[in-house]
Amino acid sequence: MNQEQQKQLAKLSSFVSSLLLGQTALAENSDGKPSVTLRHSQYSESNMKAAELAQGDTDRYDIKISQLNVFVPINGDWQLNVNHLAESMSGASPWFNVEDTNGDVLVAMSGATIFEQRRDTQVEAIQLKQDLTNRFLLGYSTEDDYQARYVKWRQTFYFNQKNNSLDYSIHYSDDAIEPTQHAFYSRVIQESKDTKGFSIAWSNLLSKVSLWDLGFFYTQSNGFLTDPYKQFDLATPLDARPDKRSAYGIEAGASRHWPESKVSLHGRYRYYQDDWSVKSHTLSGDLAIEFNEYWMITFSARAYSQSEAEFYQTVVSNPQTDYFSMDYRLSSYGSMALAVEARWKVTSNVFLVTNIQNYQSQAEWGASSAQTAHPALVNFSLWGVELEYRF
Amino acid sequence: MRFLVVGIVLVMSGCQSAPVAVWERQYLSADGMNRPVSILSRQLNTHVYFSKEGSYGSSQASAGGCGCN
Repeated sequence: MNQEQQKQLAKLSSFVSSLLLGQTALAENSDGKPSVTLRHSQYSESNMKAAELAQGDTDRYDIKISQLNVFVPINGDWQLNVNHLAESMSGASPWFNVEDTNGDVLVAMSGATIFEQRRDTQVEAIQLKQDLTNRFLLGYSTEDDYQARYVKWRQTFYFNQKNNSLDYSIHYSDDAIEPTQHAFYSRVIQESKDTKGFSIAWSNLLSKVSLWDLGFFYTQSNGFLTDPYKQFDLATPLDARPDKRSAYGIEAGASRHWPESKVSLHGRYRYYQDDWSVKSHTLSGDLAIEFNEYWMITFSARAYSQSEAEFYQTVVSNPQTDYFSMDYRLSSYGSMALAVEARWKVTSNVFLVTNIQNYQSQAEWGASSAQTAHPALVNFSLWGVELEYRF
Repeated sequence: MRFLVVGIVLVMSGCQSAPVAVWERQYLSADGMNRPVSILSRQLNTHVYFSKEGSYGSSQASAGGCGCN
């Protein structure tokens, strides 16, 4: 095997590992060079309509996000990846729903005085062996009212001359929440939850231009899963959820390249189901066009549809059941996201990437029929620009 | 769900092809086959979907966050 073939093999292994189950654990830099990447993104939710508002502010969330990635090969076998993310958030969010005298559902929003910051740091050690890759990830995320500590171990085993790979992982997260303004609103003071799970995935090269993968995942959360900010106060609970949630799903994808036109097509499907009766389908596709050595543009589409949780109610007025929630995220709805991404290889060391996404959701696109559409379904735009330097 | 799993297993059984030799993989390692181009962008997208949609959890370690707002 010559040097160019070894390079292609390493690159392909990296691609395959990032494809499997849509893993976002930091994939190794495909050419193995040390690199530094900086990214800035802006997330903006569409405002609420004044006519659908019972109280509060119409301005929904805006988030500014800065990210830094540093990749360092330690020696022939080990690599280190460090990721840091800083978010600053402001805006109002849906609190609860009420019915007006005409029977229309109105949303009570929080005031527009929410200002929050989140910091998330991940350190990942990658061990590369002949036919095996180990990834050990440690992470810590903190907000004004929230802390999460998480770990993940992932192993990818390549065989049949790297025509196939088997990838498995386990993860655990320990989270604590201390709601702000708990004295004023009589909220819980401190609660916790933990999340654990595993995944397994398989990939196969189909031909010189195509490959596919298939995976299964299972996740379970235990502890305080209620949204403390939607409780109103402890005497008037408007959100109460079970203290356990188990979810599983499958995910499959396929990719194909057309050498003559330098076009690549990727398709993915994900099925999800949990014991809160939420089921969802996610279908996504990417079309990447390499114009030349320097420019590549990718068009992406993502369709998502979910059914409602068994205890979801659009308006909770006099709860008679143990569990209830008005959270739009537990309602029946669907969404469509369209995105475009451009990559410019400025020099052999410098890469510039920019992308923009628009996300729209509607109750009519839900996986089950919604009796009453939630008026606060989220629409947002997300754009970003990043600069990578490879040493 | 059961039909879906059975269907996938059937598709898998028909997908076993002749091995692709190492020197035949230049197209599979083309830049356009690398998804996503930006790992940071995908990490962010994953967190946004986790925060704003009802299908929580997957193969990911939690990226942290209350997901309350």
